[in-house]
Amino acid sequence: MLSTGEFFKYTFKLKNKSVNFLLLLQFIVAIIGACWLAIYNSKLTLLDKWSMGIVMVEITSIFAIIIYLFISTVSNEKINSSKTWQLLPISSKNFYLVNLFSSVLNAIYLVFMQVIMALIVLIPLTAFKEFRKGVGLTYSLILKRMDLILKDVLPISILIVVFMLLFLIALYLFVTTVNFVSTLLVEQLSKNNSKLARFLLIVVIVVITLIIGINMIDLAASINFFSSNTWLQWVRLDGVMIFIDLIFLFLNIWLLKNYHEGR
Amino acid sequence: MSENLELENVSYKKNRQEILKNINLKIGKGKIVALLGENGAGKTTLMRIISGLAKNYHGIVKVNGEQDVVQRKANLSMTDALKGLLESYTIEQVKNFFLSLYSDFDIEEFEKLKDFMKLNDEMKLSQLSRGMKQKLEIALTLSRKTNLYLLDEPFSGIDVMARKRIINSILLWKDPDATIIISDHFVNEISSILDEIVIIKDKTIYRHLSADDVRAEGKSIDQYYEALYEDGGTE
Repeated sequence: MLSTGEFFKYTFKLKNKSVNFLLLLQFIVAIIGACWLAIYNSKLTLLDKWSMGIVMVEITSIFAIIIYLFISTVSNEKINSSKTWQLLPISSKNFYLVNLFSSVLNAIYLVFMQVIMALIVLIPLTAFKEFRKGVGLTYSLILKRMDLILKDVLPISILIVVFMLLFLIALYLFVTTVNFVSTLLVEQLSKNNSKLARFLLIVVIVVITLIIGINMIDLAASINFFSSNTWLQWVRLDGVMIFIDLIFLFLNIWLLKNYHEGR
Repeated sequence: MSENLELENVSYKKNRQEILKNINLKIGKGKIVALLGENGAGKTTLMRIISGLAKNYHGIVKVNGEQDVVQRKANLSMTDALKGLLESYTIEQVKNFFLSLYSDFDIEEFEKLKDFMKLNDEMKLSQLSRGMKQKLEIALTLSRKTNLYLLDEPFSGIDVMARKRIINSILLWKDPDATIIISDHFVNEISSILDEIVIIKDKTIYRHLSADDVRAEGKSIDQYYEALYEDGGTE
């Protein structure tokens, strides 16, 4: 029997390699981009030129996250649908949860490392008086408003981060559901596994989900679900995301256990 | 409990077609069994049902007395084309996959089999010919110390001399209590090591008999098998 811990350790490390490669690529692109911007804008001060580095890290971070999301969803579905991986002596539930959360944790790792990257790029800027002055001003402002920050800004920020995490999980879950449901429908309804039929089913499922999603948002707006109280609004949104995630999670685990076969 | 494999009233449908029906089979410990049948008869599907890969089937499947699918997977080893791994993987990386995730994977056995098959760790999956990949699959499958081995057409891409060597060596490393089920079209070449044969025809088990019984009739196993199809199934 394969323990969930051992399986998670292996899968996380495996996916982490591609995240580290992506970070390295991002770093190189950011440096090249920053150098090009600095050379191109020769009239800028040294401080401004170095700040281009931060800008490039921010811009490349967005692309890196999008690329990672694409790579990891494809990789997840390859694992979910593979005979090699489905032969492992582990329950469908643990198999699916490990596959999902190893990707989610690697996404968090990616964002964390991008923040570290930005901070590293910021370090040389501390040599500039203007930068240190700016940091000092910001710091004293934060100290003056610490009560407000702790009471309002911090809790709402936490709720927003939780929402983003739940949304990320929902993305992975949704891709899996589309994969599993389209495969199941093709197997149940047609005499051969037509790729065209499966593609059309995928398009139909995605369109139906989008229509349902838009209608749900309209319904929510009509019943004043989106409160003027920001904190309450984010609590409700997090609650809805948890509910959606749980539905798709249970559906995917059930489909994997009972229908979705590895090839 | 003397059976490594038990199937009771197993049926399976896919793509609105019945693939297998009323499969009843018991195979004892230590047997080497050939699973024979025409292309599309359901041999691979039967192996997929036994291994837990095929789902939504009816009936009971037990491996080493265990019905639970996770326990079954832990008690068997099946040949796999390794499509779930990147083609850029080296044999070393594939070995690490098995070593990390299968507690019964015997690394020393694998190294011996790998040398026997003339493979080396630096080779990438994308660089391997079909025959070399099948040799790797066999080495990985047989390096796991389990009760039941499912070899699905393991020799089709391997050259005739290597095939003979591998088939003859199966008896040497095989655990006395381990059962091997081989689905292969080279009936003649595996016949010397067989204890039993199972023939799938008309979506069910057509015959399950001892290889010695066939030999006692003065026939070779492939002659017996061919006769079934020539006579329309009569003996």
